[in-house]
Amino acid sequence: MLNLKDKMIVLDGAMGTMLQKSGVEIGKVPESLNITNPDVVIDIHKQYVNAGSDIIYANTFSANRYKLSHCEYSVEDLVVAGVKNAKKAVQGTDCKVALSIGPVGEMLEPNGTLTFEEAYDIFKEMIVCGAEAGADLIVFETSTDLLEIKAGILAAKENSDLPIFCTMTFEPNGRTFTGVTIKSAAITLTALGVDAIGINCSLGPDEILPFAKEMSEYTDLPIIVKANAGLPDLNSDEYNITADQFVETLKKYVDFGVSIFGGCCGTTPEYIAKISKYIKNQKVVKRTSNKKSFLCSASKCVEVNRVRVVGERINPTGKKLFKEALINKNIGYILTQALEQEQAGADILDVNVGLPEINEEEMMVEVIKELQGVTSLPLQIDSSNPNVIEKALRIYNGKAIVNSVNGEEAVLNRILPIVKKYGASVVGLTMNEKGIPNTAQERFEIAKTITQKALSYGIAREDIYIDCLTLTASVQQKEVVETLKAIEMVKERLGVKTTLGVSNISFGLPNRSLINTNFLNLAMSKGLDLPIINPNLKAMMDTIDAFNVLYNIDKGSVEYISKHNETKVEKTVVNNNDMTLEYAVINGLKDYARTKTKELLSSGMDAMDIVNNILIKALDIVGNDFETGKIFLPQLIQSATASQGAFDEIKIHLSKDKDSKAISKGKIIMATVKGDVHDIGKNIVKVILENYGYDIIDLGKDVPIEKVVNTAKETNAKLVGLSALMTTTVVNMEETIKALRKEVDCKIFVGGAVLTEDYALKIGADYYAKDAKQSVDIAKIVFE
Amino acid sequence: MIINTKLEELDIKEVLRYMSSSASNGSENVTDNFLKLINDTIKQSLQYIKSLFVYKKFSIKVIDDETISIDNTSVCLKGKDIVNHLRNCDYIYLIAITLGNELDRQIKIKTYIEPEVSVILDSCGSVAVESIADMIEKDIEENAKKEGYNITWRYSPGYGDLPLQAGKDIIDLLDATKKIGLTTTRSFMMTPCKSVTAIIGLSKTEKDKRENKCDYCNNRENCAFRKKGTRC
Repeated sequence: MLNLKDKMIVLDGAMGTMLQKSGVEIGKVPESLNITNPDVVIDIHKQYVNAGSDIIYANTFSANRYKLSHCEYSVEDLVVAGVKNAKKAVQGTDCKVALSIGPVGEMLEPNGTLTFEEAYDIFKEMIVCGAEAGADLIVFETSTDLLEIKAGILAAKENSDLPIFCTMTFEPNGRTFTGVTIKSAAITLTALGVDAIGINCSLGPDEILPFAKEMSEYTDLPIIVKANAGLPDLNSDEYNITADQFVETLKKYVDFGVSIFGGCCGTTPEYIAKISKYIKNQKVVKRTSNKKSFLCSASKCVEVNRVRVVGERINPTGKKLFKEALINKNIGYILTQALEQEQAGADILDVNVGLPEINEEEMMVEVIKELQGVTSLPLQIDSSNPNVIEKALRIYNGKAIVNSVNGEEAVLNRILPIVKKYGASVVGLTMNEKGIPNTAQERFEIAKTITQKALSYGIAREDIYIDCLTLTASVQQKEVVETLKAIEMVKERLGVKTTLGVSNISFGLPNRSLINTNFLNLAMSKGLDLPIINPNLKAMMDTIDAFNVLYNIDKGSVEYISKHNETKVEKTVVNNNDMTLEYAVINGLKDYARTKTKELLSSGMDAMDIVNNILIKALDIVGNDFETGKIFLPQLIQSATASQGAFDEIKIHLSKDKDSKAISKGKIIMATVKGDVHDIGKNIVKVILENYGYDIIDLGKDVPIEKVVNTAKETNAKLVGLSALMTTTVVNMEETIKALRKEVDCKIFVGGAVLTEDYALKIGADYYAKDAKQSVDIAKIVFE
Repeated sequence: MIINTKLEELDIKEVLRYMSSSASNGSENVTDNFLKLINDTIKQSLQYIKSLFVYKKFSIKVIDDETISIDNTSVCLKGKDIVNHLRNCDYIYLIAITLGNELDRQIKIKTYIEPEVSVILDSCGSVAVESIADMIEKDIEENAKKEGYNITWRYSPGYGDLPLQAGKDIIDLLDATKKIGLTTTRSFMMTPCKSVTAIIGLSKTEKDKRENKCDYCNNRENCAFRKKGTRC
């Protein structure tokens, strides 16, 4: 019904501006006018239809459940009336009616407390009503959060057959308020399969021009521009560009292929009439198609046009501490692994949380949600379970890569449709029900099957990555070269990208690094794009740096020189012999604390002796200094972190001993209560307690009451710590305590800015902690 | 009015003050290494901090002892304390300030890899948002003087018995979600976290004699800053 390919399309102009001009009292919810003053609304629509709009937006922008919570009308009332008014206005013309959907008005997790599922439901309600009332298409506009708009797109696709337009709002720095870049928006929205994308609001046509140009380079979809009438005057809120000036800028847009135009704040039917007059005489300029391989998060885009490192560390295979972290739901440990890899130079992070003891679906969703709150790197969803993959892709904020499918028909048919639906890329392993073939030729055949199947499901060639599989040189030495040959064949003959887990090659051999770096080099020279490695290993990263110089990718060796010519930062000189572990902890020297602990352990000192007689004593001295005002909070934390270095060494030492249990002075659950998003206080307490040797199960912020209760039941933790910052959320603290008391036998301590000792006891807590130091005192009492 | 300026520096003494313990008497043992860490982190924080704000004048009417209506809007400010505060005022300025999402995100990231830096960044955020508020207050005061008005001190939702909900009303009246990306959660906490909403009154009477905001603060008996003899 909409010809988007060869036709220039004119949208409408501002509704709010026109409502203000009409003189009607607008009130808190402008959509109420759909019912109280339909004539005014219909008249504005008609003016735009007469001015030449091909599509008008119904007055439904804020008619969502969240924004209408104090309104006398329901979502259905206002959406249906809004669409009907617009339909009346277009009667007898070819003009189409769009259901307009703006942001919910509350931020999504992890910035706010709105969940993805809630956002989905809010949009779904509007979409069902709007489609029922006869809307011809759905427009998401003025969006600043890519994940929120994704919830909307899924709601639209799963509850209607209508075409979808998406426009986002960028600030002068080329990002939305939540940090979404133009590239990431273009790549993600295109991958999700909408019908047109673009930019609206915030800026005028001059300012949006370079942004629209950039967007056009990252999508093949038609591009929408709905600019404001210039920039608003600071005092009067009037916009500074006339209709004629507005139209003058449009030629530049038409030149690079923008084909859908309208106006946002400050524009009127006069603007639309002039836009229409100009645009209708123009032809759609064909754009060159864009066949590049991209992965992205909301804020960072990675083009796979050279070797990109996939960090392999988020994976429990063969890692005792990681397994423990998964079982104890220690998300902080996993996030630290992610951030360390990012610092070390990884471009993409592989995420594998599969362990028989845990619910992989739930864990994957939680880890992805948390990860995308802290890392900007695109993620690789590593699971063979289709449910896990789908759940993860649903809430992923960007364009992810799925690891993996293989050549089995059933696997391909199960997973590829999911990959396509959510616009992801996919890794195909060159194996099938018969296992891994020995020869390059046979692996190539499987790669071909996978590629053809993926293409048949509509997955683009540039989104396919083939893994020719590394075999262990010590066992199948003769087949190593087959892997290398297969990479070359796949690259050349199928035109897809390749990936490879590298380090298995050296299993069972001494000096593994030597084998690994050489194998990596050989594979890269055959065309490996995404090596899956541990980026914390300097030798591997250095190998890639050198490769980039030798293959003329790092032009002029610029990156190589800046990285490898660094003058080494001088460390604080401390005479190693004079220094004790106690000194290292008190002065917050993490590296020395580690070294010293290693020395003590290898000299045969008992781990518990180190903990009780050195670490805890040193921490007590520092804690006392803080309490008496001799040092600042970050100094206390530095000492705690130094002792963490020591604890890490002790944990590694103990984990070598298969029978030993991890060292723990007791389990403590910590949570910032439901409705509360300020968790820095809780995080400080957590760091300090951890470094006194307690195991902390950190449930995060905005934690539902049931989750605290259930975790307390499951883990038998003897102590629960709750934090709340505001008077509005202390109520939830009281509710959480009540619920715990009913079902669990544990002690509870609480903290937060508005709490007092009296109040804490009044709402049923056992202890009130005024700061992190006091939390330690409480823990000592409870666990002794 | 909406302006987006860049903060150039932060007062290191203020940054330290937010991180001192309640027993502090200002004579902490500050090593050179620690001082360098603070200075480096302040520099870092200025890269993350956006200074986004919007403020606007409204005329008001006292309706009764617990209600002030803001003219030409459907919003009322509720509470005895705010009525006392603004009783003699003809106008108010509503103010919304945010430092944006990136600082929040960096504070969170550092929690996992450098927790001491996280705490310093948090403190930098508090100092930054206050210093922007001071700057706005100064601008409002200068404009008010030209028209023969004195200003009251800054009053924020949550002080006295003014409910936190008023923060959402301020954001809505200033269109601050669209203009500067400031929102609230359902329990009226602001996101991004490092944000402020405030009210300044304009009156013809002499300046408010009460010393400071602590006079109205619910947390005054419990406040760690007051115990140190300072203010937040």
